Amino acid sequence: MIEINDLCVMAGKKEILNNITLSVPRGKFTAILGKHGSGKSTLISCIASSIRYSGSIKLDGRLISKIPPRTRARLISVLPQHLTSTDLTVRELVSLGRSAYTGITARLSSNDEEMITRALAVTDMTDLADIAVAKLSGGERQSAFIAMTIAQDANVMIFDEPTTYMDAKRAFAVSDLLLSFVKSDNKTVVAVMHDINRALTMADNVVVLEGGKVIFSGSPGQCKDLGIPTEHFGLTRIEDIQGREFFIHP
Amino acid sequence: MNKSRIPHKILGTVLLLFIVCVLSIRLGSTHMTTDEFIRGLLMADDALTFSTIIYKLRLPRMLAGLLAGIGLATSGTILQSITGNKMASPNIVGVNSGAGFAIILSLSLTGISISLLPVAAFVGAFAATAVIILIASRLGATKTNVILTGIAFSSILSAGISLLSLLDTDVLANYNAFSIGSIAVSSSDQLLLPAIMIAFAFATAMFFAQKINVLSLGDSIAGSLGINVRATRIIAMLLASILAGSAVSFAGLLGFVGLMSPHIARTMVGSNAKHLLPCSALCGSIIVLLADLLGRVIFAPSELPVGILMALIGAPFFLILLIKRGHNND
Repeated sequence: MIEINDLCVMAGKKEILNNITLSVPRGKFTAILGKHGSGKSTLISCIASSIRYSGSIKLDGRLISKIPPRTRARLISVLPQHLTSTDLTVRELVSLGRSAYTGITARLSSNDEEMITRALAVTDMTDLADIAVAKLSGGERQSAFIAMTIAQDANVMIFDEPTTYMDAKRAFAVSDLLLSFVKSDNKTVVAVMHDINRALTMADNVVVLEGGKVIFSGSPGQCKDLGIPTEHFGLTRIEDIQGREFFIHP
Repeated sequence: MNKSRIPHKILGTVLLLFIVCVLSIRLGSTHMTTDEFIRGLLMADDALTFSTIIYKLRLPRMLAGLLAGIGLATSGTILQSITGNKMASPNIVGVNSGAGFAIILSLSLTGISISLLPVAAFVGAFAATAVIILIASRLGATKTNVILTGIAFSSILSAGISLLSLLDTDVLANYNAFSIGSIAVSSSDQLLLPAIMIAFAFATAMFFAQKINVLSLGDSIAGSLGINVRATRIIAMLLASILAGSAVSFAGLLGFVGLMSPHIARTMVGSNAKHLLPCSALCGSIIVLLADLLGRVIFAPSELPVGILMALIGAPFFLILLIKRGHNND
């Protein structure tokens, strides 16, 4: 379980995150929603310990910032929104996901190789394994980095808008894949998402940020009951012919 | 990138370097027939003049080119990886100027022993790199900021070098050759300490190849993958400084090797530092030795310093990179 207490982040005199207190349950899919500039990516950066903050973030009772990087990488993986364009091949990139497990010579064990092959297969990147990442489309590039994160095999997986550049087919496949890690492997997945309908359908737990504060944390049902999609995001509620509800821009 | 062909490509580059090394000893302003060359190599009694030319002049020069190429090319490869910027190289981001400034400062103020110049060069190179990274970090540490800060800081250091040279006529006498860059060293002994430092830094860089790969993905991802980003970046900077500083201490401000070599090597073996570092080092040595050879052969019996030829080749290369970068950004 991730416990966040009194988390604050300042940029100069501007408050980016303001007293965030939040619990992310273990073995569940948590979706983080919010408008642009609400502090979603900053929250992810704090969990990744890549920016300075005040307050505390604990993973199973241990302060994340105090866990040695190598140990932390085995417990929690974080994939940021902005991904570097690298000339490494997809396979080389995915193999870097095993960095926290390899020895000082970085030699991959048969188990490492197996994890890499599996990560390539489940993200449908096996055929592109020997292509340079820089030569891939935006969606394929995101898939390559997701494969790297899967190879990392951490129990807590955090993604910042993992399907932004993907076409609908690939985005659905990746969403289902992330969900399968929760259902089959009992992993904890946290994802910043921009598709509210998908988040409300997939997630066990929804967190909504606005102006650096948490304005909602609870189940998708509670989120809908409180009218967050309509009142906060300005969406209109409709039902399809099977009676399933959707939220669309009016 | 076909991975199975990478060992063949590296082996091919080793062979090419061997040929260039032989040519570097074989050719020069003093003409030798093949027979004279072999007898000179074997130090035959009737070929002492040729032996002297080979062992006292050309061999140290060849070794200097070999070392300068390894040092500057490896430094450029590391800098390009840790800044995530393919335009980075020791002379562009100010590492060379830092080393040069420290050497000129040491010569003019302390009268330091020549054998200790590599240490001074390393201190200067590292201090310059640290200042540039620090200022660029304050500005947001974008790839462009690192380069622009380096160019600005490099200009300040170059002005400092010029000022110190003007104040001391003895230093001024050596400054011109130093700023152009040359591998015409006085003896092999001069290369001992730089050779040890370059060998140590190169071996350590190979040891850190995987970490350099991870760092090239950016601080955020590198941290998530279990790398101590700050410590790894400082170690990588130290290595880049040792490599460039050691090369500058005997070859002067030799430009563009650190920029060109990683690019050429990347087209051959890809971006994996495990293959890129050795291939780039080999390419660096080949470039320096070829430029030196051309400078000796084209204008024989006069010589054109290797630095001038490097600039003639390197500057257009840099412009082509800029143009390609512009097209990619479009």
